[in-house]
Amino acid sequence: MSRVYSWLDERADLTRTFSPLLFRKIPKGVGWWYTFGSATLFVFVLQAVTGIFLAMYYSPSPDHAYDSVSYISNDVAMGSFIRGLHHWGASAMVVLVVLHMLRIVLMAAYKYPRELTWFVGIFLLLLTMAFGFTGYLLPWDEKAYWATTVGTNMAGTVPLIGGWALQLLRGGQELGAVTLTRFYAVHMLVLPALTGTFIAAHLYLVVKQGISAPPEIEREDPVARLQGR
Amino acid sequence: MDLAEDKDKVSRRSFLGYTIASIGAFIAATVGSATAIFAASPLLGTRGGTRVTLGPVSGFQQGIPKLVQFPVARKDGWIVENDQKSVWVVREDETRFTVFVARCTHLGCAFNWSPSAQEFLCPCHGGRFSLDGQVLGGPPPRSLDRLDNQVEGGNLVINYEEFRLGIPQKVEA
Repeated sequence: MSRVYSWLDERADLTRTFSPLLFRKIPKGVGWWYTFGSATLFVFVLQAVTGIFLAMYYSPSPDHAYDSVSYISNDVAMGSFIRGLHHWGASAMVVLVVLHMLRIVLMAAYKYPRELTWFVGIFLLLLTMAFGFTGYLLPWDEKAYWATTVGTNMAGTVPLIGGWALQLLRGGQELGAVTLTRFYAVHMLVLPALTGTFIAAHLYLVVKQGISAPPEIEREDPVARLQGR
Repeated sequence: MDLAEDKDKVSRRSFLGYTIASIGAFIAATVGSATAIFAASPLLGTRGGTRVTLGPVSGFQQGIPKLVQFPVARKDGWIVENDQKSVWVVREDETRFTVFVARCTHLGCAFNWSPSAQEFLCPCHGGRFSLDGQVLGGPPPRSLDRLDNQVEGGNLVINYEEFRLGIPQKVEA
C-alpha cells in the first residue's frame, strides 16, 4: 500500500499538492456548529451517487415515470433503500444547508474577507431549492403533479415576465410530457453541473481563506479573522 | 498520564483518525454494496418457463413437424410485453410429443422444416437438424432444445423457456 502510494506520489506529487488542502490550521474554539458545511457536502455526494444509480431504472415520460419508480421501490434489489436514501437525503440536504447558513449568519462569518464565499453559498442554496423543486415532480404521482402545478403557477404570478416563466418552466401551456423531460434534464444534468462548479468555488475560497474564528475568539484577537491568508 | 508518550496506547489524535476512517469505510461499504446490488438486480431475477397450451392433440400429425406460434407475456422492467414465440411440434405417437424451441441453437435464427430433405434447415448459416433434433451439419453447437410437455385433457401443454445460444451446453438463457 505505502509502496503503491510512494510510486504515485513520486510521479503525481500528491502529498505536496493536497496536504495544504487537507491539513489546515483552524481557529481556536470551533465545534460542531462548524460541521454543517461538510455534512451538506457529504449528503450532496450521496445524492449524486444514489441519483446516478436511480437513473438506471427511471424513465422520464408520463406513460412510464410512475411505473418505473414503483418498479424501483418494489422490484429492484435494494431499490427501496437507494430510493429512500435519495428521498430522505433531499430533505436532509435542505435542512443541513439551512443550518449551515444559520451558523454563518449568527456568527457573522460572511463579513470581510468572506463575502464572496457567502454569495457563492447563496447560489448553492438556490440550486439546492431548484434540485428539490425539479426532483419532486419526477415520481409523477398526484402529489408531484399538483405540487408542480402550484409551483409553476406561482412563477406565473410574477409581474411582466410571469407568463413567459410559466410556459418556459412547463415547456408549454399545460403540465405534461415536456415538463417532465425538462425537469428531468435540469435535475440530473444542468443542476449537478452548476452545483459542482459552485461547490468548487466555495471550497476554493474556504481553503484559501481558512475558516472564520468564532466571534468570542475574534473579539480577543481581531487578526484571527484573517487567519490562514 | 500522557497517552502520546505511552507506546502501547493509542494517541487521541490517531484514535480519532481511526474512528473517522472506520465510519467512512462503513458508510462507503454500505452505499457501495447497496448500489452494486441495485445495479446488478437484473441478475437476481427468478427464471423458469411459461405454461402454454398449444391446442388439441388432433391438430398434429405423425411425421409432419408443425410450427406453432403463441404470445408469451414477458416482463420488461415495469412493462409487460407480449412476445410472439414459436415451437416446432413433432408427434411421436398417440400420446408422446417432441417440442423444439423454434430457434437455431447456433445464434437464434428461425429454421424451417424441409419436406423434401426431411430435415430442419436454418437459412442463416446453414445449420441442419434431423427430425429428432440431432445436428446433421453446419455450425450449431448442440442439438435442438427440447421442451417439457404433456397432454392434458386432449390438449398439448408445454413449458416454454429459452436457452443460451451458441454454446454446447443447454443452460437457461
